[in-house]
Amino acid sequence: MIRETERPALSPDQSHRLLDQGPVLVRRSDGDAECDYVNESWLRFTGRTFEEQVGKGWADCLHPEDLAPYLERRRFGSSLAPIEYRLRRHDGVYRRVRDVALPFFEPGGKVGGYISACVDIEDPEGSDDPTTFLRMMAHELRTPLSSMRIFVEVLRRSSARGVSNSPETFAKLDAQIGRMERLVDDLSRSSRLSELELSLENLELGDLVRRVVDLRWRIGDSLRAVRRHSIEYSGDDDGRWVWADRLRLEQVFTNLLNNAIKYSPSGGTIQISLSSQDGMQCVSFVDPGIGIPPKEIPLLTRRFFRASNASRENYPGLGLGLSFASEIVERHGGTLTFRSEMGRGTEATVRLPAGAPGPFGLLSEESDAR
Amino acid sequence: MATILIVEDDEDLQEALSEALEDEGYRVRAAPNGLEALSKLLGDNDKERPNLIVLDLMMPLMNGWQFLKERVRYPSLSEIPVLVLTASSDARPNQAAAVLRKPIQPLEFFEAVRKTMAPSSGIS
Repeated sequence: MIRETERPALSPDQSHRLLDQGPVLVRRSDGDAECDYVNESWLRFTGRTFEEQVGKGWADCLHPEDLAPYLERRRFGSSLAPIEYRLRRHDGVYRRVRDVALPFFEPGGKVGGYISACVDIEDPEGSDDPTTFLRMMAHELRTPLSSMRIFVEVLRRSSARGVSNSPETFAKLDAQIGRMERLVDDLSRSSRLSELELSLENLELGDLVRRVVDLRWRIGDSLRAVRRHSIEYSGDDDGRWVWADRLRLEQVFTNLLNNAIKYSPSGGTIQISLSSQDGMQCVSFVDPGIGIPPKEIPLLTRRFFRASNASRENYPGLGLGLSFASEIVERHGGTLTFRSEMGRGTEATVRLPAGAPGPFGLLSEESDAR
Repeated sequence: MATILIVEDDEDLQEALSEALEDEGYRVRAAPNGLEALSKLLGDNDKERPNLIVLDLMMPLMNGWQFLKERVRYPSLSEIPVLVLTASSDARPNQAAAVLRKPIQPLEFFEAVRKTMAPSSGIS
């Protein structure tokens, strides 16, 4: 028999320090899942305050799809075996954690609740986790694939009836193929971003921005009964030359425009303004959308980042677009910055070094240096 | 003629579904999220109420799960069957009459629409 007295115990102070500084997230809940304790590690991981987590608050950090099964399995008498679920980290990224629980007893022997301890079991290198990425990519491909299947079926049926196929349906089908191409492009670029090569030419910025907007709007204009968003330009857009890669910049502006639309789900006016400042040409996209929590703005261009007010259940996506956009702008010697007010909207501004005027530009040493 | 309300935030898919269902002879209405769907439905009189709701799950403002939860608070709405379309491989909301996974196979979709549809109540 092992005599307990022979094994020295940790002091309460040591236990507490270990609990609060270690990698294990600890939470104590009663039988109704009301929480009265979380350790410092839990608060650091979730980026929440103690007050936000007690009671039922902790449940907000669990992935909505995982919460009900978790509560079901952790009920009295249920198994206390390890459970895996997704827990939202401070940067908005859901991480898979493994949770083990230990029941505690009230005087009289009745189960009072459980203390759970969980650890992040995803690759410590971070959210580049290939399984998560592939799962999200598969998810993103399914919607345009659905549209393609349906448009093909519509075309097949009209052919079968001897009705000539509408060019509009072909245009819509083509637009879906374009969407798939962009996703595949993102997929390949996510693995070799550092090889991004620019093919530079002298471009008129206002013209480029209008082209992107027209392309996004062209199909919709003639076909969609109700457009939820409108575009308003400001600033004169003539003669703002930049030395840049046309396709890459189109990709940046498409991404900013799509975000402005996506994150203003109630519709409204998206303002696009062009200006010059300190030798830089600037384009801003201002949307009337949901905004971004101020402390998360510096994280926006991180790969896979999701703002805490934009869950995947409401705003699905890969979390790659802005990281690519910022990478492209920086390769041009420019910057991509954001200003935002929660519930009011967001302004995304691209600043690019001004090029020499004229369609051909000046092939100077400066441009060779890029 | 039976009416279908499509609740889908992806404009392209909303359009594709509308076109295909109209082609099948249904009257189609659409909403881009659960919140607008709910306000449309609550504004309807009995005759305008759809015979089927085709519901996406991941949507802004009010997602599909939240919509299903809200819907049961209104007896007149909870009678309308819901066909869920989802890109998630494991979501299975239990208030849905049927669940189809994206990518949608058109024939399977039409079949599911026919099967889950509430009978049209003498609407001209």
